[in-house]
Amino acid sequence: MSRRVIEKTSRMTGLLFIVLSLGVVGVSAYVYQQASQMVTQTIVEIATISLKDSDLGTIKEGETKTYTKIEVASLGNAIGIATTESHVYLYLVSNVDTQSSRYSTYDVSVKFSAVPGGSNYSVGDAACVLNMGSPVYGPLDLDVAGSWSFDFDLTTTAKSVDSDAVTTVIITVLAESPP
Amino acid sequence: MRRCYTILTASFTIWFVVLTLILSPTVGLTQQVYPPPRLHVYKLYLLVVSSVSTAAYSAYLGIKLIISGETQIE
Repeated sequence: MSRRVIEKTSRMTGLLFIVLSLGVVGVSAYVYQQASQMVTQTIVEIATISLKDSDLGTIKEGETKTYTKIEVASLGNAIGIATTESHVYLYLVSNVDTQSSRYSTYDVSVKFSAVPGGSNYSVGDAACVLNMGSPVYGPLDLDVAGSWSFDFDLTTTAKSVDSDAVTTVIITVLAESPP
Repeated sequence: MRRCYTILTASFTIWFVVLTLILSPTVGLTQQVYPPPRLHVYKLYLLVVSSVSTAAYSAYLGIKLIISGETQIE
């Protein structure tokens, strides 16, 4: 092999190693950033749930309608969290109060759908209700470590129905570990 | 040079294993686990150490190969 070919091969290999090193740094930085959010924060966002009008189907003015996970699949197991220690506190922050112009009732009932053994709660127990008067709830004490999940039941009474208006209720779920 | 490649291969393997441990849905960090067990924190430290050392060594070899223009690095 001529000297020139050896030099070219060497440079290409060298360049490949440098690209590899950049790849390692890039991939690691991304994974670290994603994973360390949970490690460094005392409070972490577990989920953000959006309930769109279009997901709820048709509703007439003045009609009160209750939706469960049977009618709207996304209401089932809407929140899922696996805790690794006891007494983790959940906070639910919603913007249900922004619906007051269109709804006279907008109640989001949060129910336990999976509870770890040894807990004081049972499946089907109501955890809290978010409505226009109290759109924020917390802390909800998850008393034992394990897998928890929650269903939503939604009860709405429409004041006015406008097919052009698309509104969304956003529920943000936060978890706080014990100090 | 063979020794350099062996070190680099070993370094890459360790980095890849750590990355797999973190990304694995069964043993890794997911948004569903809170608060993360101490073991997960150690995995993150290991990721930093392994990635920095692997990237630095890979870059060092690359620069050395480019500068020397030889396939054999002494």
